[in-house]
Amino acid sequence: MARAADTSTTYMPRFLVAAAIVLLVARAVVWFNTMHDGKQQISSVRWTPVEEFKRSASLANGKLVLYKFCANWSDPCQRLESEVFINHKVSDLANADFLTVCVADRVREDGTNTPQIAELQKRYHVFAFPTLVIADANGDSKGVLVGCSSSLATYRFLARASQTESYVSAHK
Amino acid sequence: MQTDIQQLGDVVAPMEERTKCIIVQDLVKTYKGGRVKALQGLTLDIYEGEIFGLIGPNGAGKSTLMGCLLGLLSPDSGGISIMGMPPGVLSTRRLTGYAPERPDFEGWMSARQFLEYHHMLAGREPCTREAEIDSLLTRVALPANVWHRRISTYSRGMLQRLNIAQMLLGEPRLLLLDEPTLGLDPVGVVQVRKVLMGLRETGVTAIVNSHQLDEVERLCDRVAFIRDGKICSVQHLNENREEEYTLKVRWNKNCANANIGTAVDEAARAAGVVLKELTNASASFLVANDRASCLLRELIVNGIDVEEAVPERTRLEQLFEMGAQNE
Amino acid sequence: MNKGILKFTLLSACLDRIKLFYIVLLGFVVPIGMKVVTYMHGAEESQTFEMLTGKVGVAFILTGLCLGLAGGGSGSQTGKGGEYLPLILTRPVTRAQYIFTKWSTFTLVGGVLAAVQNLILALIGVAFGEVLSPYVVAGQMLERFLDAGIIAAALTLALVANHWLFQVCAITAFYVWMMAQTMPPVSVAGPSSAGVDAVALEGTHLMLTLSRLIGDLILPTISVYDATNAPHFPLLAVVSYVSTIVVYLVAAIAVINKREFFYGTSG
Repeated sequence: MARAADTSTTYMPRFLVAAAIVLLVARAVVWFNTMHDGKQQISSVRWTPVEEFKRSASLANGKLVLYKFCANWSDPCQRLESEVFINHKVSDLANADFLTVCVADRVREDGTNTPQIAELQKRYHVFAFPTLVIADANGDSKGVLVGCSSSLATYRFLARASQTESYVSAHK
Repeated sequence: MQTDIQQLGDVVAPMEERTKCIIVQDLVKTYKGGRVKALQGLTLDIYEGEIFGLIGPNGAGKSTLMGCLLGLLSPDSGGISIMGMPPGVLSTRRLTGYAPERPDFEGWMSARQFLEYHHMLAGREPCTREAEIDSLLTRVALPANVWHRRISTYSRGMLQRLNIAQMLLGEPRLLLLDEPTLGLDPVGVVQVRKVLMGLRETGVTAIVNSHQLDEVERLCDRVAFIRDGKICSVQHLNENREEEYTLKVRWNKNCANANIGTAVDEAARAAGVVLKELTNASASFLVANDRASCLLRELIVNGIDVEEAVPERTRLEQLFEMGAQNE
Repeated sequence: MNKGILKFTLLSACLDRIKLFYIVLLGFVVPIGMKVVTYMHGAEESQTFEMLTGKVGVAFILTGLCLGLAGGGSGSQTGKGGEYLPLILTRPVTRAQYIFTKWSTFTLVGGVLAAVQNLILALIGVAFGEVLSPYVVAGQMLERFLDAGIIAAALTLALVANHWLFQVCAITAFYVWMMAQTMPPVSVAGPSSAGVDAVALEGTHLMLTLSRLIGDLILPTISVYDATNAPHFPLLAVVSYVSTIVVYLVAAIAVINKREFFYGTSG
């Protein structure tokens, strides 16, 4: 009865529909592969277990201590390693300017922590994991970052403490 | 009143020579999963260059028909052809102008900005913008001192004039008007009438949906009476201007005297109309359309100070009554 | 893209005084004030600050603006800003063009405002001795545009899909995502608890997990900083982001094509 000569007002761009289908399939495939491989991503930060850490090393090196309070069962802690410290800017800064110490909570596994861990948690008022604490050679807190923040926020947290310390050291 | 009702399927000789602008065939439209039947097999032909009226009771399906013609509603079945194209394509939209009954204007815009927006939406050339907008605003008699004012400050009449102006953007060949004279003062009503009559001369087709029956009667060439989603009748208005009707005339009581009856009688005879009823202050005459002005002139010449002259009922009102009685 | 819709949507954003006030306050005054106070007192930046200068800030800007910029509000023939869709859609404009133009405009407005905000904050940081490389600042600004793109796509769909069930789901998902943005992802320390404490902890854990899942599903993010400094290209993040935007746009076009715009309908 009537000729459909040109574009309908309710035209659906076919390329967009095709793109949506292709991208959804790609997303599913990549997600599956990532889940399969994800656990193998390890950051390049050299964490020293707290049991092996000696504060005298900080005094000798003039470096700040970066404590990472975490727990093996905590998802945010795993994300901190796989998403934040995997960023080489963050890991390079942490390795270069800090003595990096890992304080792993053992309450759920062993029922209690060692006195050293308990004392550190109490000293720095740690109530959640992960918590990053920057301390100087005397053990005084220079900065606290609670939770798994973004890479940039973590970098700025480390850089601010590191820059301040460099400034103070240079002007003694 | 005798009506000249076109039976569906009959073809009137003059229309045969004209091109069909809109063809609607067996249109069905329901809402709410079929529970509300808005259109039930509506069939209609509208010719190029005519002004076509749609009248009917509330809920008859007039607005639904308009929505289908505009491509805003999808019919359940049936077909629509507008100048040989379906309603929902860009070519049809370029040729169509629409004046909704209840537009919601962007209050922060001025009239110029509003028309500029629709000028751009209509895909018009930027170089024509200023001239076209000025021309349209002048045409609808929107005062120039309000062209730059925010629409939120406009009166109802100004908004309706702006509505008509935006409808005319892009030199459309088909106009759909929903209650075009709503909110307009008598001057505005005359303005709209002039615009539409002028456009008709250029072959523009217009469909007017209105409850203002006297206005529809003045404006339209044909009128369709819709009820329950179907066309009940289509009346040719232009061909029946000689139809008789009752005109009630009232005059100043102070000029009434013993000779008033004689004067009125003489005026009626001179004008070629029949005097039906006479009182001291008014009279009813049986007149044909073209004798009314003659009658009024004769009454005045005979010393009667005419104050008012109104038809008792319009033909369309009688059509409405007939439609209601047939239920 | 339709130039008319773009131009007048932008104008609508600029000329509404209430919206401008809201944007200036929430988008600039509050975060800048917080940043200055933080530096003056040597404090750490709060989670609220991270929210207002990140994706959540973009969401605040766009939800405030979109209420006035869009057409076809829920259950109504008119846009919340008065754009009368039955009139717009009778013009020779495809509905896909309308959706695409609106999305582009929202992205442009939200992205520019948030990017400018980030730039101002970076400059304030410089004044207080925090030096971020131009590369990092540019990356942040780009991120705000990317955030605006996906939030704008989600909002465009939410504005045209007026079915009550969809609206309930969309609003619920948005608020679950928003609630958990108020705290960083953490696990609460302490031994296994019982009773009310356990329920509270598990509830928090559930909310954070749910928020992350919902966020990854409906508002996946690309971190430009991570993308440029991670050992591997974040393919999943990029594919998730692009696919979600495309799906939202396709869904919005499909919905608006199906809707009937006329008084007397519920569309």
